[in-house]
Amino acid sequence: MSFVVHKLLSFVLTLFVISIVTFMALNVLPGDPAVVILGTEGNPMALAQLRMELGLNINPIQRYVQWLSNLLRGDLGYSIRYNVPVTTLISGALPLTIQLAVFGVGLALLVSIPVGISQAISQGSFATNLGMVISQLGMAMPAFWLGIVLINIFAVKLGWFMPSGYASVASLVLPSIALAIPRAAIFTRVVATSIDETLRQDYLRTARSKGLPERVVLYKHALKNAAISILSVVGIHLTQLLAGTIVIEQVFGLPGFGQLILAAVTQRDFPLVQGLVVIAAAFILFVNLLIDLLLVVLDPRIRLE
Amino acid sequence: MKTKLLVLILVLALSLSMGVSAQETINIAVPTDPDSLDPARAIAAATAEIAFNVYEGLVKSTSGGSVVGALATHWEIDETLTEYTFYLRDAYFHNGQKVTAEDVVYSLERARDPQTGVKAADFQAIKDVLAVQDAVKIILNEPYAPLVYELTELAAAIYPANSNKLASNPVGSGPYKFVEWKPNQYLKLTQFNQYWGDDTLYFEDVYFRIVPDFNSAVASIKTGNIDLIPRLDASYLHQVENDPRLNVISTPMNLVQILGVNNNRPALQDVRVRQALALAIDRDEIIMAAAWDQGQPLYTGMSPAMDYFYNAATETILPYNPQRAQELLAEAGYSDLRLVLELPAPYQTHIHTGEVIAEQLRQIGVTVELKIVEWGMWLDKIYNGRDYDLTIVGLTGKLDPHTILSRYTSDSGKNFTNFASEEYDQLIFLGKQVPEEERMAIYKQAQAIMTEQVAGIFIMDPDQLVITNNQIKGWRSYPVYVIDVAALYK
Repeated sequence: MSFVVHKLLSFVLTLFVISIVTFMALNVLPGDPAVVILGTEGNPMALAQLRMELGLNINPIQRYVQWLSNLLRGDLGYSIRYNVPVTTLISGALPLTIQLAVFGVGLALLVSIPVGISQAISQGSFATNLGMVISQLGMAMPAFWLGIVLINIFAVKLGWFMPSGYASVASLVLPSIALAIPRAAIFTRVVATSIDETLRQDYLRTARSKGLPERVVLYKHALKNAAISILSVVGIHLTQLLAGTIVIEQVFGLPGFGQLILAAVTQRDFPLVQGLVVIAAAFILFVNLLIDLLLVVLDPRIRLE
Repeated sequence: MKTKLLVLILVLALSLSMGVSAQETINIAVPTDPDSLDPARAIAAATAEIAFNVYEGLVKSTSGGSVVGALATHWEIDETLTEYTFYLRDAYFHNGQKVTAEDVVYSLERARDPQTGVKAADFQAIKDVLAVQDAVKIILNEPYAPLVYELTELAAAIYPANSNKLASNPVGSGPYKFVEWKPNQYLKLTQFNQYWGDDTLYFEDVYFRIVPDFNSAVASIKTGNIDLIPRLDASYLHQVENDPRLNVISTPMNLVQILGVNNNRPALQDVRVRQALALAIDRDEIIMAAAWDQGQPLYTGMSPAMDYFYNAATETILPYNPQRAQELLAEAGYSDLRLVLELPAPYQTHIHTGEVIAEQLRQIGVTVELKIVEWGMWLDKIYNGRDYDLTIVGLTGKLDPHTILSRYTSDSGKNFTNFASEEYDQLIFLGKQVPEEERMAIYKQAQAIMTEQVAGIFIMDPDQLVITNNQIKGWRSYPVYVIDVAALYK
């Protein structure tokens, strides 16, 4: 019980600190929304007028307190760039990004677990070495480049998918693959090395000498142990993707979290940036919490303290 | 049996009628969302080019750059040049209401009130707007020739009196009416059947799809998901120019790419140094290297696209002549000049231009340090703060020469090069006071001064590259940001 309270408290505290840091960063950054909106048609008079309208002449501490008290009522304010509530924009973009993150990581796991296991148990074979080369290549390929290649082959040449934009879940196939390939390469290495390590452990030698079939040794004992390190790595990638797959969204023209963050920062859309950062941080903390709990289930030595 | 037959006929008739009214849809790729669909709140050129189809003012721009009546059939100017009378035509708003003089007064009052209009400063010349039966009188404080040109801008669009929520529910009188806007995805318009114009509209539905990445836009036009890209970056030209399914239309953009020279920096206060820098610039080389040979060289602060007001003689004032440049530098006593050239990211054309210029200036013995600055920071420090030596930026075209040239008057809030010339100030002041036919000579003289005194060093007007699939016809180019959907057909 105290574990849950403790986690919840640190959750709220972290969010609070993050919101303050974002707010300060935005205020220190040169250029404000008024400057960006007016662009090269700006002049001191128009700037002063617009700053007043946007409430930028109010002092930052007062603005932050106002924002925080609105947040507690579930109100993230209005986006300056889009003139609509921040919550509307975020709830529009979030489902797409969550799907993309889950598909990307899921697909990577689907490939990497069987491949990683087979690499671990048949070391030195030609297939294993070839697999290593492929996964090395996979790690080296940037996702955005893969994205462009996939678009050119499967959308432009073969016409199987739309090259850009979001119409249905089908629009997520290519971007998920582009996200999955480099991650599959990384996960495969993690699976292979951690299984290999586990297989050398004393308790597995004991298990084998007891006469347990190799299948049971591998799937019941080794995989369960290896799962801990796989899960930690997966957690990191999942949270990374939730915070926005900016480049992939840009390449595939997907209206997700990343696109929104990019637009918000370049336009100095303070309320939108604030809202996006807080929601993204909440998600990351939540996923981390889930992973922590899963690790406890997998490894009884990790205690709830 | 009879009923069966009847059903059959009905089904046939239905499917036939559906076949006849086959709705044609056009998909246009635009890089960003509009900023606001409320004309009084909109600033971005990206908004104006879409809104041209939805809203109309009293007057509008033609593709040649002149002004014709839109909601006004014609107008008269009195002999004091301070009273304009616009006669309204029979036109309707998208909500079915007739356009009245009261609507015009309401919209223009809202545009020029600083509390409601973000571009109110543009309408300072107006003293009063009055409804007189089926006409509207605009009274000015003093003669102001740019008025009719400025009335073509989105900020001066007309909408029903007392409309609220224009940002989410825009109501205009243009050929297309608003359907919906999904930020980061698309903006949809549909035909307005009561439009006053006699052009028959070919496309029933119009989607402006937000495609921020040029690679995706090019891929999408190749697969037919997009029919038209109104502004493609020249570096993507090679991907489309040899595709038989696509058409490339190349036209002047009326944009002025300027190498901003801070006239207040000690070394740059000396006009000889500024002239030396101008003489060192080989524009053909820059256009080749930074714009893939798609652009027109500029020697003054106005594009040749403004053919009536443009002064072609400025091309011979300070042409490329590195030897003369070195002589001038030596005369001024700056044989070892060091300058910082700050370039705005993510504008690749400006960054590449800067790289070439640094090399060209090195040829005359000027050391240039390049710095890349994020756009928001650039606007803050360089444009508004005027804290820089050299910089490069593109200034979007306007219809009226005053709007383009008044930026360089010494007291202008937009004069980011700190140019100061009394003669120039006087000419610009005079230009707005005189009748239309006397303006040309004045602005030509002003252009000669700004080139000779180096208000800035003008580089090029990059071409606008319009890509369409080869079924789309009728594209009309304008000297301002416009996508004229009503002109398009298959």
